[in-house]
Amino acid sequence: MVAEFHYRLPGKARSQRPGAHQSNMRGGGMVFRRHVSLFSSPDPRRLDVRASLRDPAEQWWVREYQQRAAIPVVVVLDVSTSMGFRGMQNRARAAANFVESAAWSANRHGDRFGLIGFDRRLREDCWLPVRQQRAALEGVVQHLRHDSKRDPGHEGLAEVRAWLPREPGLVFLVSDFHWPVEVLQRFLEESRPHHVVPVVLWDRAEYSGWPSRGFAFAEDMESGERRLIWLRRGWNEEVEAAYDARETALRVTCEAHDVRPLFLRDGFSADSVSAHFLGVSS
Amino acid sequence: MNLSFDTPWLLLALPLALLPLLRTPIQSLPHPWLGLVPEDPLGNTLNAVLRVAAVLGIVALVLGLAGLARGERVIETVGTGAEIVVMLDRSRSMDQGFGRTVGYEQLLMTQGETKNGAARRVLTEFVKGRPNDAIGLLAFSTRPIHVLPLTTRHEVVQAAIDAAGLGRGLAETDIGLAMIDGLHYFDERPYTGSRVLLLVSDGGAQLDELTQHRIVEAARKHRVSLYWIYLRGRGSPGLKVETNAESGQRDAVPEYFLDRFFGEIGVPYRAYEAEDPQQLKAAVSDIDRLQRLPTRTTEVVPRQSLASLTFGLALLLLLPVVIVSALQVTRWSRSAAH
Repeated sequence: MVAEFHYRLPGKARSQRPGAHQSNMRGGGMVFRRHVSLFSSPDPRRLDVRASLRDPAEQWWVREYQQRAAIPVVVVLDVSTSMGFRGMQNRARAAANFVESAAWSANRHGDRFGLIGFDRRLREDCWLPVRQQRAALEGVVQHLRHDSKRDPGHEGLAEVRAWLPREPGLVFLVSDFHWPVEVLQRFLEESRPHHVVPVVLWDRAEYSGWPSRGFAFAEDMESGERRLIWLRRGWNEEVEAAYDARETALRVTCEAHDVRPLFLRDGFSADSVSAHFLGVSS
Repeated sequence: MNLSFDTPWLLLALPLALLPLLRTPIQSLPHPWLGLVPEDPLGNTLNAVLRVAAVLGIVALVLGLAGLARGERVIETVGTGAEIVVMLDRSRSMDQGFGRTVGYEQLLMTQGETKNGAARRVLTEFVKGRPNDAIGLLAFSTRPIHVLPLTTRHEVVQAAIDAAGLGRGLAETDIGLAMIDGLHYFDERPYTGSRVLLLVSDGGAQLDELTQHRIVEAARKHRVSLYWIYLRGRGSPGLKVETNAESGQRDAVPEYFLDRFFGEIGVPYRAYEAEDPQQLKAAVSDIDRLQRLPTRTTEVVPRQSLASLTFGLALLLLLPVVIVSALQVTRWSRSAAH
């Protein structure tokens, strides 16, 4: 059973497709918007008799409602080498779970779902066009879960913009964000009409999982740089401080674009994603 | 310092020493982004030290396997001593008791210290007291036996002197032949210091004309001082000539003859009649006092294998890698969930 999370746009959607999200489109809906004359909206079913009688000009007024709209939901997924990290959790599996859950939730909300994978370029094997149907999803999720072939890099993110839908929607940027903050900043600027939610997949092992003594030859998964670290008391605190500073930097960058990042440190959980949209979590 | 190798082709393995620069035997701990991990200067230094030590360790290992050895060398030393050729009598008579005969003692079958033993003991002392001398050892009996060439390695000399006590005396005594051979020790050597021929014997000999001539010639040529320590045995006449003896009679006793002959060669000569150990010691100390001039000697140091040194060095240099790899960490701590 795939977990489902709830999401919503902060503003109003601008889509003509009927769906679950607030929009400023008129049409069939539950939220009253305004009265219009029968001539401009010739729908006698919505005739408001009381409003018409109240009108001294004796015009016929028709109620107009706001239609709820469907939006495109796109997951932009980092599939680079560092996303294959295994610490307390299997990060690749967490990312695949997120994609699967997002697709299922979008389907439940009546939204269209798309997936764009990238590493140093766009990855065709991790790409789903923004569609209503979920036919191709299963294969791609399996591929994400078990694929071991990964390339380092993040340069593909620059090309993602061209593949985002024209209609403004919700974009989840799922990554460990182990690349310069400027890259994130540029992406946030470029994907302007969309509402972007950076989903930061971190692992507690990365920063507080260092053993308390011994020697570790830490190897960077992407650059291959090897560094000998003399583990000692207090080392975890040093790394944690660096990660805290990184989190602050990411948050500051996001705030400038009116975006709130979602930090997932214990793998994917649908509840934390829902909580993020409900404004409950940090 | 000239170095050589037993199996030089093994040196082809030397490029293997670069391996630690490429890889270390320590398993790595994959981390998604080291950019977020603070620099560890201690670890960086240790890393550099480890790699350099491992490179040097492998170099030492390869050198050891190739059989590094220090080649033969010639060392020149300047000492303040003389060049001394000790000629030790090994004839059977040297196994007899040493000292003056006193009346009835002859009847007793007690064997005191032998002449050989006494000579060795005193020579040992002598060598000990002259650490800078080049000393050669020649044992002689019927034929001269070259024991040691002139050398400053005194432990060897000591051992050779000790070895002279092994077994029994050999046979008769031919001092003439031994003298010529002993003088040949100085052949083809630069005259770098005073030269001493120390004859330790318990008897004299009659020498024919030809031998006499050759001894005189060689002794003058090499400018050798002669010292004769005469070990007087029981019942043998002393060197000191009774002045009233007739000359013909004197020549008939070989000791008298030899003493006179040495005196006539024309080189510094001194004879000591060592009647008991104390006198013998006194004789040696006399020589000791007389011959203290600077000398220059050359010594050949044989080829010396340095394999154990290189292996020890390799062990020392590779130890840090072993220690670090024993303490290596290859997985994340489970206690991170907090």
